[in-house]
Amino acid sequence: MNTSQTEIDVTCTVNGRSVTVRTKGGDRLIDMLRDYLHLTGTKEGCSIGECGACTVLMDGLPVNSCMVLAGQAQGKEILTIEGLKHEDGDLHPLQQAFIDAGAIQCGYCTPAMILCGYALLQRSPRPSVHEIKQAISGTLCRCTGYVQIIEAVTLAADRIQTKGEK
Amino acid sequence: MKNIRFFQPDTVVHALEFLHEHPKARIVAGGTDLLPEYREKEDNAITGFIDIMRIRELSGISFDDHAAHIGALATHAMIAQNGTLKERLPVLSAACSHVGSPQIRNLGTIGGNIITMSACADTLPALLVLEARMVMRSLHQTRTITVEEYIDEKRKQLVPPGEMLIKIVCDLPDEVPLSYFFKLSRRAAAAKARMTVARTAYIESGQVRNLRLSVGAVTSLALRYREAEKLIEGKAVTDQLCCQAGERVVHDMLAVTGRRKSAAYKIPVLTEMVRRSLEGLQ
Ligand SMILES: Cc1cc2nc3c(=O)[nH]c(=O)nc-3n(C[C@H](O)[C@H](O)[C@H](O)COP(=O)(O)OP(=O)(O)OC[C@H]3O[C@@H](n4cnc5c(N)ncnc54)[C@H](O)[C@@H]3O)c2cc1C
Ligand code: FES
Ligand code: FES
Repeated sequence: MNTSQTEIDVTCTVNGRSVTVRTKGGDRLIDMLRDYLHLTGTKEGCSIGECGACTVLMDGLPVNSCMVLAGQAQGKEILTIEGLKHEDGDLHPLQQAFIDAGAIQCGYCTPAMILCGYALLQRSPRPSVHEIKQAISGTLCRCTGYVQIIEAVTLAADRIQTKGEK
Repeated sequence: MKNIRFFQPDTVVHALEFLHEHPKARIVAGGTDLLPEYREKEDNAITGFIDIMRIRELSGISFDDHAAHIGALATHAMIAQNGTLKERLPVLSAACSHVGSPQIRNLGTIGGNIITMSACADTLPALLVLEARMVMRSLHQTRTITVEEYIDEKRKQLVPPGEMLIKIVCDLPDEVPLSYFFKLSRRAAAAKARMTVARTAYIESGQVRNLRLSVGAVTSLALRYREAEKLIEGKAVTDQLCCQAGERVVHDMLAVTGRRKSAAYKIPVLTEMVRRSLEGLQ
């Protein structure tokens, strides 16, 4: 994409599928995901990078999708909360653990928290509480007080490691 | 809604040419400073974005015998996680690890941090004590300038238009200096700095050598405090000297800012922060 345009076709991988979306030059990744692809699991809170509710994984790393221009996602691999559950509809162990540990109240932070947990477990399958706190430190939760969220990530790690859940 | 152009060059020259033709387009790297600015000001003058994230020349961290070359696009996470930087330039590594949240560190670049040059930019005090240099390029020239000189250009509004930051160069002395970095903020994670102190020094036969001290977030642009450095240089550090250096920094800070309301807080806290940054040299 070497010429400049006010409308741009962004081709990237979203949740394992290649998509091409026509976006406007000022659109952000969160706009592309929610408004064009209707992946509304990604939440918009503050729009200024503070709350983390809009977190998605870009090439495996958690980023605020309100801080990324849609065009910048060109060629990238994006994972949103919708991409976590299995083909047959079964929940990912992290999703199940969030339910079981009471880590979801209003749910607004949950997609982001789970994705931060997911990125953490990819690089550290048995994280310490400190590592979990670090990993979720960029996502605000106004409901739970965080304790249950930390428990949920620990529970999921345990189920994946000891029971081989996927 | 305005029609915003989007341009994704693969080379520095293409980016500079586009910037030249569209002076109101803005370079975007991680977007973490620019996107809030773009969205918060309805009447912003931005007509387009030049996404530089794919320009290979600007990315990566490399080393030669004497220096670290940190591409403008190196993110705070990349710098904080780089083992060699952690060992050889601990003050910069610490600064980057304190920026924003994990998500922000995955996006935000050192280049963006320097160019925006906000009062509370965490890398600036570290780059000042490292006497880091910036390689800047425009269509017509390439120049190398220290971060301190660039801050001065910014203060005097002399930064030339149409320039891009290519990389940061930090000398790697044979011996790593004793290094200190402390960021004071309202909470431990994801918070802006209220004060940041960076310090490097050596101790030879009980005496302090090559002390460098800088403070960010208390003045509109981060500063080196050379008078305080001189107070201690060549001496054995004592409690009294640490306190005197703290007072000197406060004195020089107030000479820049004047006595604002916040001085009641800043004076005792900054004095103490400087004292703590030096007591470890005893
Ligand atoms: C929630 C939040 C928390 C934050 N917390 C901190 C913090 O704790 N400490 C801190 O220091 N900062 C913080 N920041 C600010 C920001 O994340 C950093 O300054 C970051 O390093 C900016 O880099 P970027 O790549 O995102 O810059 P961008 O937003 O892409 O660009 C910033 C500016 O620099 C210009 N620019 C970028 N790269 C170049 C280049 N190579 N050549 C020329 N011009 C260039 C752009 O045109 C723009 O004007 C925070 C921001 C947010 C949103
Ligand atoms: S909506 Fe993106 S961080 Fe709050
Ligand atoms: S569950 Fe409501 S914000 Fe976290």
